[in-house]
Amino acid sequence: MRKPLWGALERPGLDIQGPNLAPDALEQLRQRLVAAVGAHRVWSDAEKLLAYSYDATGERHLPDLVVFVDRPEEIGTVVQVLGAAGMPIIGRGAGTNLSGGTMPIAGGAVLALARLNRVREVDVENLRAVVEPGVVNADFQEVLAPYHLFFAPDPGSHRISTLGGNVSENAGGPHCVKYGVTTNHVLGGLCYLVDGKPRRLPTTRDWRGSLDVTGLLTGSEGTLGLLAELELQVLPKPPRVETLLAAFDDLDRATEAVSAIIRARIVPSTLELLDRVSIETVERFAHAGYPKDAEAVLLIEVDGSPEAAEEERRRVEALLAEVGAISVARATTPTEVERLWKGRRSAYGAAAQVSSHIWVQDVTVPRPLLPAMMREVNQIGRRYGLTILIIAHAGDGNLHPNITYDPADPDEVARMHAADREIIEACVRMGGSITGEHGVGIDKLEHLALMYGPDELAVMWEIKAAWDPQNLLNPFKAVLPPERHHRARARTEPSRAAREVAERIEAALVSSKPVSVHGSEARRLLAPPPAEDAPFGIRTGHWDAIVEVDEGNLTVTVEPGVTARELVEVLAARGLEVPSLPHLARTVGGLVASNARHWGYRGLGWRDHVVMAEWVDGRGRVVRFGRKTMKNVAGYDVTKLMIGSWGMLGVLTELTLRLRPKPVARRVGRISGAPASDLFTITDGLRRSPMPPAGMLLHLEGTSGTLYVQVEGADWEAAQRRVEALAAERGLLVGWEDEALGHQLDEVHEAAVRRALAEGSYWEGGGLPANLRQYWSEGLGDEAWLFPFSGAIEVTRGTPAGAAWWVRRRIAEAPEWRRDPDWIEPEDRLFRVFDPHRLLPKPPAPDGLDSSR
Amino acid sequence: MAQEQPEGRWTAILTEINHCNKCGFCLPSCPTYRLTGQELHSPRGRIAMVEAAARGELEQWSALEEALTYCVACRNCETACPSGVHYARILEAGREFLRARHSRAFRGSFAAQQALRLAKYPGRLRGLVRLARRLTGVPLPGAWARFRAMLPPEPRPLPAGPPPRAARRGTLLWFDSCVMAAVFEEANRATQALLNAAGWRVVTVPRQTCCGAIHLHSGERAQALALARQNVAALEAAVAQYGAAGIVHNAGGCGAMLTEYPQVLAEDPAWAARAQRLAGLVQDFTALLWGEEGPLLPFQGNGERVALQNSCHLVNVAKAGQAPVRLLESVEGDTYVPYYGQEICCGSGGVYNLNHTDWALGILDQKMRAVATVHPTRIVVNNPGCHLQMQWGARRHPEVGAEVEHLATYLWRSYVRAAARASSEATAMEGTAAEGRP
Ligand SMILES: Cc1cc2nc3c(=O)[nH]c(=O)nc-3n(C[C@H](O)[C@H](O)[C@H](O)COP(=O)(O)OP(=O)(O)OC[C@H]3O[C@@H](n4cnc5c(N)ncnc54)[C@H](O)[C@@H]3O)c2cc1C
Ligand code: SF4
Ligand code: SF4
Repeated sequence: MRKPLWGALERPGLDIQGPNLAPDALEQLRQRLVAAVGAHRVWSDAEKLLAYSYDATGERHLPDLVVFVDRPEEIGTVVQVLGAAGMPIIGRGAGTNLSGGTMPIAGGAVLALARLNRVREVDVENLRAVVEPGVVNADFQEVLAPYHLFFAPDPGSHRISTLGGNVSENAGGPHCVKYGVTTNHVLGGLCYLVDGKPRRLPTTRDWRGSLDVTGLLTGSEGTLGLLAELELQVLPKPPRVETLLAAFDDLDRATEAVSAIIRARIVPSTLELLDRVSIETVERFAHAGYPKDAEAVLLIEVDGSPEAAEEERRRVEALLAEVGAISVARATTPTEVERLWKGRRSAYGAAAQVSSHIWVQDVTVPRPLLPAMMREVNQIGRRYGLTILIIAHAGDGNLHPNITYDPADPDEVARMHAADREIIEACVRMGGSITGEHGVGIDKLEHLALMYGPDELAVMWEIKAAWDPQNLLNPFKAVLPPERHHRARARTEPSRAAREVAERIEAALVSSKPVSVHGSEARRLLAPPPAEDAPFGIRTGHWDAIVEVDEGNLTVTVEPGVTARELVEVLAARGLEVPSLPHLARTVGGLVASNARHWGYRGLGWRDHVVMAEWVDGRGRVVRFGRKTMKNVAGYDVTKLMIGSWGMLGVLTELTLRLRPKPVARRVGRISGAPASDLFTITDGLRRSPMPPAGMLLHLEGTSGTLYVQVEGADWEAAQRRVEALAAERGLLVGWEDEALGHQLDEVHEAAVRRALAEGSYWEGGGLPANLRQYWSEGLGDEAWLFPFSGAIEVTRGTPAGAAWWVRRRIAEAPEWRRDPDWIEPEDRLFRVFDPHRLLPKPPAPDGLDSSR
Repeated sequence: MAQEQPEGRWTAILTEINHCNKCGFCLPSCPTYRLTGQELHSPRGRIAMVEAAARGELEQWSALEEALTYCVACRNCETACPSGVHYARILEAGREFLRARHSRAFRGSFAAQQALRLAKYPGRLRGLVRLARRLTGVPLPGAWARFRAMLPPEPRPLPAGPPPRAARRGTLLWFDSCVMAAVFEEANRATQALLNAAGWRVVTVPRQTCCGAIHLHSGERAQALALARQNVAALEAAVAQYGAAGIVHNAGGCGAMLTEYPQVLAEDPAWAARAQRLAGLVQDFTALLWGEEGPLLPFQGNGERVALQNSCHLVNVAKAGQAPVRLLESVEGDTYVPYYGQEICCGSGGVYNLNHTDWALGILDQKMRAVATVHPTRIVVNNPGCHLQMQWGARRHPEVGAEVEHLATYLWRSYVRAAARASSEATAMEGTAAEGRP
């Protein structure tokens, strides 16, 4: 048995013995590794291994080996060698995670990836970069800076944490409130599953042909695969950032200000809160100039064009005055900005100066419940006689109650644990997530059962077992075998639709009859067909309620049969919207299930908007993943798999979508009847603009076409001028109209797609946005629709010449899907998790055969 | 059970170690972690190894030894640490623990030992340097041959400046760095000339000796203590004689050592108290060239792009790294170019580059790549060890195309230029005024 190291905590469910290879077997393994990477890159000296026994969580567990990887492709060899010996494999970046994700709790080999630190490519044309996983976040930002680009995720640990670690934890940061978390910026990359074969990750862009396994791997804490290369989305730096620090003499008033800002439809780029104890500590050590008598401060940033940012700042200042901030400081020089940020950034360390140890908690609640959650935490702290410092990503409802304690005082340790558990329970009661950004690691395994019922826990474990049957990749992190969950299990009430669907699926199971799902039928002809004729049809149209619009949280919960048009109208009446919704009669469930793209949104499509989904899988299990929160990394991001699953994994029965304020202005510009090559020049220019338009669609018929551009928000005029300038350079004019033109376009486009599908002349797919021009020059049939931000292509008439780009088409009787050969097997394993009896449709192969058979 | 401890220090060190919550913030600041990407060669890893020793988890010492051997002791990790961990104390405890176990790791190479011996005799060191400069074609003794590239070229003569002003600011005691005196005499002269120009009277401390920093960091503790006591006595006497307003130096590492004498001499409370009284007086010359309203002297540049390699110990120990930056920013007509990774050590580390030359060169190459990103024409330094090291870097990386120079000589030339311009403008003014006269 391995010798326990000082300070190891008792962890329910984790009483595991490591592999404990016999010394000679370990030696043989070491030699095989040495043969693969060289002697100096394999460590087995027990005392040297101590340097890889810990991460920022603080506990220590000894690994059996450390292997340093210098080239990405070595990961494959090393994984194969280790896998053959049954040795656990723990990927490690900088070891700054706060949940024990890199602790070798069951021994094993640590794969040190920090030396993979090359930035391979900064692709300015396509706003993306390709990096190795060991590149440090701040170093990456430094490489991007000369291009006036930035990578939006910026965890507090950005100076040291690696991009591989950021992606594997789905890290958040102060800028998430506007730009989303890491998963919203991952485009693809290269990964090794436990078989050690390299696989290109499927793109997350809205034209992908596979399940969103990239989304599943993001945040999977190294338990499903190792990331060897990352393709990341980078954004143009906003020309102006305005920074404010508001102080309050009452904590509730500070949280009220947060709500007021959200309610006022302002989307700040930062909205961070520090409570009184944090301010005192920060001031004692960092001297950031935070008012010492304040009960709370908010660090607020807004960004955009100079005019828009200033205007927003003034609105925020007015709101702060209204709510009763005791002071508002504005940073006007880089030094002042730096100083205000210093307080926020040093909060964690300052806490560490007060007390030898701090327990960093990370809970997320729906935004309107932030004040209640803060009060709850303070009460718990008082009850247990503990000092708790609260730092919150307030704009996201994500708070870090940091409990100071002395590990040498057993009574205090016990009180700390009890308080910690109460905080987590309170957060779950409020419908929150037990971890917003730090991950489950080993720390929160025991709490997963507070949040998930047995079916969800089972699904997550089955996914793990499907891809890593021997439990070799970072074992006992993030997910656990169901039998190891000791605590009482949560159960969420299934929705009305879920109950009914579950009944039908059970009936289908009894009769072994396949099932098909029907929304508005818009893209039925492209969907994978059910396994037999006359299947058990499930129509979602009559579950058409809008369950809840939570304006304080900026979320809407809907049944799957709600039509897009109805939802758009209901939301518009409240000044809100879901960015990817076309103004059409299609059902929201159908749009999400088929990952339908919308030209008016330049992000990554539905995966950016769905925060929670409930569905019934092919076993009749009702599962609910995600929460009504902006951030959630509790277990796997299974929701991602459902987006664009085309009914193959289950029947969506409820969805919660993230909302945004409907932009104050929206104009749709049209450049008609222009030469295609000119239009490409314009779209390329607009994509790289620091103030890009909200969306673009290029409708080409042969060598000429029409470009539609949507500009919106506070910066619409600047964006509009930019469009006009680029058009003028090519001697073209832009006609501007209001949003109705966009609605018309939705309908024309929809009609073209329906006709093409019916006639059997439809192709869809995509590539790098900057390559669209080339695809066009190779021939895109007689009518094509191009999406210059995502690189998506749809051909609705004629026959395209180039064949490289399509992923789905209907040119004969049946739809054809091109599956990525690398992913057929892993995907099929996922299908078996959700639908072992093959009741639900499966991907049709290019020749019409079911390739998964 | 804690391991058998040197001088019963483990408890105190464990309290210090407990403040390290392993957040990893120190990793990017550490030159050896940047070089290797290995935890064992990071501050966090080194602390973890000492912790393991202190908790009785080690059975042999090779890993601990490896971890502590390659630390440059730049203490950049202390500045980066949000929890305020005093890394140097942990490092010292670990090194002592090893020494008590007769570890040979900190003996130092032949070259390093020679250097330590020579440091106490600036005269001999100077002689050797002259010889080496003169005999560029002649092979040096084996152990030294590699290091010739460190030697700066023959010093450029300093331009004469305007006559110094009256010493109206008070008296400063000049603490001489042994290496500075030997290799960089002109920088010393420039420093004193600048201080005089700014209105300070500068008096050299009689009977001073090497500060002992490199001895301490090489484990020659007894030697270091002896040198420290000799300096404390000499400085006390000088303060008594001249009633000095400050003790001034132009070598960041030596200055930092003076401020740390109270800790170094802690086991001897009487000496520690004496050292404490002096520590508050120690200042880098740059701080004394800055007044309430800005620089005390005007500086005129020459269209250069100037990068700074700040002394690690000036920044991380004396916490006085801002003054050189402010002065550089005040030079009109030159551009001060800060760069990413500027705060990282150059790998000099006292005699580190003599002991662990390959590591030091690895660190140096990283440094040169980092500084190259801002295309400097000049790299200024303010510590003799760094000066030698960066000189080596400039030779190894001619593509960078930057000259290395001490901050003091650079500032002196800028001051002379500014003074010349002011007087020619004054003459011009007088001329115009004269013409205008009826
Ligand atoms: C002071 C401090 C502040 C922090 N602030 C934030 C914050 O604001 N937001 C936030 O989200 N987090 C924060 N964190 C937590 C932590 O920094 C993040 O989780 C970070 O993303 C971890 O990166 P890393 O390189 O250290 O990864 P590691 O800790 O080394 O690894 C994290 C997980 O990813 C896996 N992994 C690492 N690399 C790979 C790879 N290439 N392939 C597959 N799996 C891999 C590991 O097995 C492990 O499970 C903070 C931590 C500290 C100490
Ligand atoms: S920064 Fe400080 S607390 Fe963090 S790991 Fe380094 S020494 Fe420890
Ligand atoms: S003193 Fe310098 S080399 Fe040593 S651990 Fe700290 S940063 Fe690294």
